[in-house]
Amino acid sequence: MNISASFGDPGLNLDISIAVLALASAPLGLVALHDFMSGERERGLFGVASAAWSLCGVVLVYYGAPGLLFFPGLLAILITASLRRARRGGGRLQYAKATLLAVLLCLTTVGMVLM
Amino acid sequence: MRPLSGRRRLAAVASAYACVMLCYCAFFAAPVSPAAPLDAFSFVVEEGVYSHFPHIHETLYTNGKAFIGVATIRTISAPSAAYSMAFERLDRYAEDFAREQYGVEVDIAIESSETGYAFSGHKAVRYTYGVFKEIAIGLPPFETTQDVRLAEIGAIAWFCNVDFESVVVVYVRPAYFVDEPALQELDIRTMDVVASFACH
Repeated sequence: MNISASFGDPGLNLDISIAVLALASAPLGLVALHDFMSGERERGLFGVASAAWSLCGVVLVYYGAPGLLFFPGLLAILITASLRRARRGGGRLQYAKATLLAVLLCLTTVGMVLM
Repeated sequence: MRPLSGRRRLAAVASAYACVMLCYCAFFAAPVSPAAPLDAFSFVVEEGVYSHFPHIHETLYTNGKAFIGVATIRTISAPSAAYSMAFERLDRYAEDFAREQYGVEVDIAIESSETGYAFSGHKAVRYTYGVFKEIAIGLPPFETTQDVRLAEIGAIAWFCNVDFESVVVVYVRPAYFVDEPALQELDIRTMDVVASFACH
C-alpha cells in the first residue's frame, strides 16, 4: 500500500510518512518558541535551532544530503547550549551534560568514520 | 507571554516528547513502497511483509537455479546496522537456496566487498560470495579433484533518499556452464533483473 500525497507542486511529492518524520521536531520546537517569546531567549533560541536543524535534516536527506551529518550537528547545538548555560551559572550539572554529549558526539563521529 | 511554571513546563515538555515518539512510531510503521525490477516475468514471485515495526517488505524471485530476494525497509538514514537484519535473513535464504540447487556439500567463500558501489543512481554496499564444489575430473585411476565455482551469491544494499527506505537485494546466479549451456542465458537474465531494481 502506497500512501503518498502531493502538496501542489508535482516536483514535491512527499510521502506522508516523510512529512510525519519532518514534523517530529515540531512539538519541541513549539515549546522552545514559547520559551523564546516568554523571555527565556537563550533556551528558546537553542531549542528552536535544534528543531529547525532536525526539520532541515529530513528535507535535505530527501534531496540527497547524507543523513549521517545531522545527528552530530544536533549534538553540537545541544553541547553549545549546555556550555553557555553552565557559564551563566548553571553549575556542574550543565558541565556534566555538555561532557556527556561531547563523548556521545565523539563516539558517533568515530562510529561514522569506521562505518 | 508568561513563562511556564515548573509543573506546567514539565507537562508541556513531556507531552512534546510523547508527540515526538508518536511521530517516530508512525514513521517506522508506515508501509514502504517496495523496490521492484522493470521486468521479472520469467521468475516466480512470492512476496509479503515480515516486519511491521520497522516496516519491511520482502519479495522473492526464483527461476530454476537463479534466485533474487529483495527487502525494502523503512529507515531514517543509511547506517549498515539498520538493514543488517534483512541482510542476514536474505543471505540465509540465498545460502539455503544455493545448497538446495547446487549440492549440500558446497563451500561458500566471500570474494569481494565494496562500500561505494554505484547502483541505481545511489551509493551502495556490495558483497559477493563464490559457491564452490569439489568435482572429480578425468577417469579412474587418473582422476583429479578440482574446486569449481558453480555459482555466485551477491548482496547489494542502498538507501533511497526520496522514500526514506533502504533496499537490500540478494541474488544467486549460476556461474558454471559446462554441463548446462542454458544456464548462461539464465545468468544474463538474472543479472538484467538485478540491474533493473530501483526505488519503487
